[in-house]
Amino acid sequence: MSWLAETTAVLAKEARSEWRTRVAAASLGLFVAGALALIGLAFARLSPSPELRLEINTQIAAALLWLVILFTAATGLGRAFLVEEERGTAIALRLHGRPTAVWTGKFLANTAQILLLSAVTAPILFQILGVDVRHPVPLVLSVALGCTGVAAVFSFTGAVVAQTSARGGLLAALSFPVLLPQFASGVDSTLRAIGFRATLSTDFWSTSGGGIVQLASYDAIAITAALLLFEHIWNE
Amino acid sequence: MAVALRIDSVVKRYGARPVLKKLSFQATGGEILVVAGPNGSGKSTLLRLVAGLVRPGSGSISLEIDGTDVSDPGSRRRAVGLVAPEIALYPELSGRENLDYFDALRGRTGLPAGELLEAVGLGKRGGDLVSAYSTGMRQRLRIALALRHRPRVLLLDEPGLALDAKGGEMLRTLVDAHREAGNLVLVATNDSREAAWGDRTIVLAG
Repeated sequence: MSWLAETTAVLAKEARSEWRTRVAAASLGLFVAGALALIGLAFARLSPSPELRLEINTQIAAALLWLVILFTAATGLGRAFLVEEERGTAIALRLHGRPTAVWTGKFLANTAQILLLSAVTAPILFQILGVDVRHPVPLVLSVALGCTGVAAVFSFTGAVVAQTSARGGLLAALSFPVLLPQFASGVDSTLRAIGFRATLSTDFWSTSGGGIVQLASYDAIAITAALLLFEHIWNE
Repeated sequence: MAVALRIDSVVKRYGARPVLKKLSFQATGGEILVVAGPNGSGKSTLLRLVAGLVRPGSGSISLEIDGTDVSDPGSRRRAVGLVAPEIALYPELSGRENLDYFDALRGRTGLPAGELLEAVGLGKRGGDLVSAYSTGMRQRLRIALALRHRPRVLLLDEPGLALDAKGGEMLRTLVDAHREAGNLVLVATNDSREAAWGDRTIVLAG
């Protein structure tokens, strides 16, 4: 049986467990709903002219979107390995699973989760802020590639943190500096895709395609590094 | 078709406290080796060392199965079957789903789940969620999981824990059958009935 089939088994098990327990859906869904409600309440009280309001909202839409993604990831994605250690199932997983297949299965499950939440969050957020997206395809690509990198980093650092005794706050402290370039590219690409820098946005790909390439490159580096290092972390 | 385990001058410390001090012994397929000793003497640690779950401070552990060297910890993990109280199974999955999941991680080459569940006395409860299992039923499921991939080395840490009399008999039957098939069985126990299963006993002083 191939590595791919083993990875699929991990992914399928994660999906089945989540379907039965709804742990991630409940905690992450509540966080996203709360964040969007607060943003909605805060921006309903802004009272500059409609033009100025749109300008402000467009400027901060990308930052708010990536802020929600960061906190959603920090709330839920890092727990994949922590739960295995806390419940004692990690030992059976170590005895039976190939490390890279285990990591990849969990990374794919995390990616699916964060993509799903972003797919719900982004349209609602832009609706609340009244932002009209000029380049939907680059926006979807930016968010998807950005979330993939975020999931890769949190899946890896989650495994590192699960091996330590001092877990509180360590996950975000380890992940955020590593993710800074990804967030910078993500915010920039999102700003360009929603048309904030209007002068540059008439031909998105010639002026702003580099951001998408940066996001994809980061993903490739993060996934490769995690696959190379995970076995050492997992086997300690 | 042989199994050869060699423990050579193994030292294991937890912090400054030595648990195993230059432990050496050899064991081969077709025998049951009982590991006895007081609490904290390193019985469970020894099994975890053999399973490749922890590393020795010094010394070496070598394992050869049918002429193939499986001494590195990663290979040992997948070669052995381990029953230990700290191994938990997924409570949101049924007993059968747990067995099938771990078998899928090994390439679906294990013994049929139904057959194993019958053998450990869970034939009619295999479809129930593990969260509904009693402590004894979870132990039976651990035994089934450890045997699923036909391991040539079976490591049992307090295997009779929480088993009723019938469960104890079932375990004895399975262990004997495993030994008869030419496999090596290591049993860490303080239970005098389980200690009597052994062809040899090593006593850890602590």
